[in-house]
Amino acid sequence: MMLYSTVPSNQQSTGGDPDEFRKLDLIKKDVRQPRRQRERRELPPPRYKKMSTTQDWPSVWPVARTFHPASVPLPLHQGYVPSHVPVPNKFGNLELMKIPNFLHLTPPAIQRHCEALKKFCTPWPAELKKEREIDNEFPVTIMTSDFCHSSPSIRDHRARIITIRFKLATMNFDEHARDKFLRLVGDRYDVESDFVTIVTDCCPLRQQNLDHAMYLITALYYESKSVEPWENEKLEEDMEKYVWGKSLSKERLNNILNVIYENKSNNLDYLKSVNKEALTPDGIVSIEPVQNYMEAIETIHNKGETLDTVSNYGNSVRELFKLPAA
Amino acid sequence: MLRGVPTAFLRKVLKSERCYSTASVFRTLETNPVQLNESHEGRFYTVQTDEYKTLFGVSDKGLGLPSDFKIQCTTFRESCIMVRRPFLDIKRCIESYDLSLPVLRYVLYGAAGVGKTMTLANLVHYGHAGGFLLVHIPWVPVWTRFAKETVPSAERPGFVDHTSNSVFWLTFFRHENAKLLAEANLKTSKTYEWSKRESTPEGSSITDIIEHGIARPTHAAECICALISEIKLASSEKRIKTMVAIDGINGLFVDSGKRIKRDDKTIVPYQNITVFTGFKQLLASDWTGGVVITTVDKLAVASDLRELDTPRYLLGKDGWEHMDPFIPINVEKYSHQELQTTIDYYLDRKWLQHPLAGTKEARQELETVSVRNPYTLMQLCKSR
Repeated sequence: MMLYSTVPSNQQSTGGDPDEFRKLDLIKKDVRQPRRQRERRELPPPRYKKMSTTQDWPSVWPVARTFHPASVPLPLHQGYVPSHVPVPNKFGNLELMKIPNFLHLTPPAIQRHCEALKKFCTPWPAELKKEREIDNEFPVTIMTSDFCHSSPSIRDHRARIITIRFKLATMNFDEHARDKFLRLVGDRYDVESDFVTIVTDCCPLRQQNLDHAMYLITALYYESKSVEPWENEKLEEDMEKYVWGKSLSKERLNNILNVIYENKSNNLDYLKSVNKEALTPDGIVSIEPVQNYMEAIETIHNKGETLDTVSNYGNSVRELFKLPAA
Repeated sequence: MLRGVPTAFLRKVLKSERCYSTASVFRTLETNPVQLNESHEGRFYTVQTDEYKTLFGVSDKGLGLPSDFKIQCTTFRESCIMVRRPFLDIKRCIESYDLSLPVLRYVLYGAAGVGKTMTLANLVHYGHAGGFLLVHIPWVPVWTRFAKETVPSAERPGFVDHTSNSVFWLTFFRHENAKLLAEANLKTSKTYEWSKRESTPEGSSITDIIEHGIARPTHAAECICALISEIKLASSEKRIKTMVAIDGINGLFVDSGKRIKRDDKTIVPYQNITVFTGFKQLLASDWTGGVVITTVDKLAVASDLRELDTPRYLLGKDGWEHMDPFIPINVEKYSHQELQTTIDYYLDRKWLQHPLAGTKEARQELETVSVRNPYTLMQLCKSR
């Protein structure tokens, strides 16, 4: 025989009636503890708001560092501005972080650096007051770089590189040597400043590179001065610039002047006073209108052709043939 | 500019002004270019119809004058050229220089459309009126880029001869100088052997060379070279005075783009063109009794050689050495006054018909839009 309870099943509770059997609760109900709320602290105001106007800025920003908006008490803005949109300010501004800043190089900071370095310096020689004197006494500038950083090794590979610079004028070259020197150094010569810059970095040590650079200068100097037999084979095409004296034009002009000289109706005053012997390709260069003409033609070829230089050339030719001015 | 003006008003204005003037401030009645001087500068002078036909009228296309200008001349039923400073300058130089001295070479240069060819045409007219034998080569690229038929040269290995071009040029030369050739009656200095059977004996008239060239196209190029050497000789011996006018001489010295090919498809370098050797002889300074007037034009050479308008760049090294010493003459764009004169002329020809065309604003507009370039102005003022 079986007995059934008449109490509805939903009223059967575990801890309710002590007379009741305890119910085996296999699947426990998930009773969650309420989550502890994290204590939210209020954000402190940016650092720059606390900065006093008399603070020591070099101690705030002592070394080169990426821009930080809260540390810089300046209302900076940077970035692309689409129309009708405010300019991005300094907070969260990538553009400001990307660019190098010089906030560590303020004048007081530099001054302090200099003051600190002064005790290692010797006084400047009193004799070398003028720039020209310095150039005369020390024509060669040797440039090296020292690298200082915290790492297990104090060596830096870049310290070996030697850069030597000097003015070409200090070499006192003649025309031939100068031309040969320029061909030898190639693009190491800067026309505008007249500086020759030689960089040596092939040897492992600085001293070796320095010796090598000095050797190079010596070799270049003597090599430029020497004249090899094959250099006489230099043609007009090989000339570094246009030389009228070596061009076909000179022969042509000489022929024309000779024809005019022998002509009865020679009306050129400058030709009347010239001897027949002077009318040779080499002799005509000394005649004044020919000199002007030569200068004009060389200017066109060597300094570039402009309306002015062409017009000058025209005037010199008019002078040669006694034509009315334009 | 035309918008907003009532048509009835336009018609009325046009009707009232439909009469052409003959003499005005902008025009000079002087028609002889020899008589032109500084007082005529910046004014138009008329080339008489018969002279126009002799010098420029052999072909409708550009022959001595720009094609567009020729069309304009047909429309206006007259040919007027402005007397400009480069023309007067060269004219003064020619007149002051003794012809018995070695020839002087003049090179006109300037930007495209400023009037180099027009100045040359003006000088050709001057030469014609002044009794010069004209050796007029209107446009050098005709012999390279626009060359018609070429055959390998029989006499010079590796060279090519132009046939139809040469015949046409000889006809043009005969037409231009018919009167002068008849008067001068020049004789050949030596016997020219054209082939085994054909020759022009010594002492015959140089028109025989021309006639032979026209009759025998394969010999025409050699005939041109022979004719040129005969002309040089005759001028040096003071039997005649010669004016050489060549447009675009830089085409003789540098590559001019599309090239002539031989039968075996090899390219003929510009040095190997028979007529060019003759033309270069004309440009040399080894003769007297003549004057050489040329232009350098960037349109005469290949499109990658058109960076500057100045003579050294355009002529190249060879050309410069061949021409040096020469007198460079810069042809500049219109001055303010020259532009006003041209507009006056167009108004007078009823070429500009809008009633407001003569106003200050319209002139200002034309000046600004054309940048005072004569060719641009001409293009702006034509209807299409």
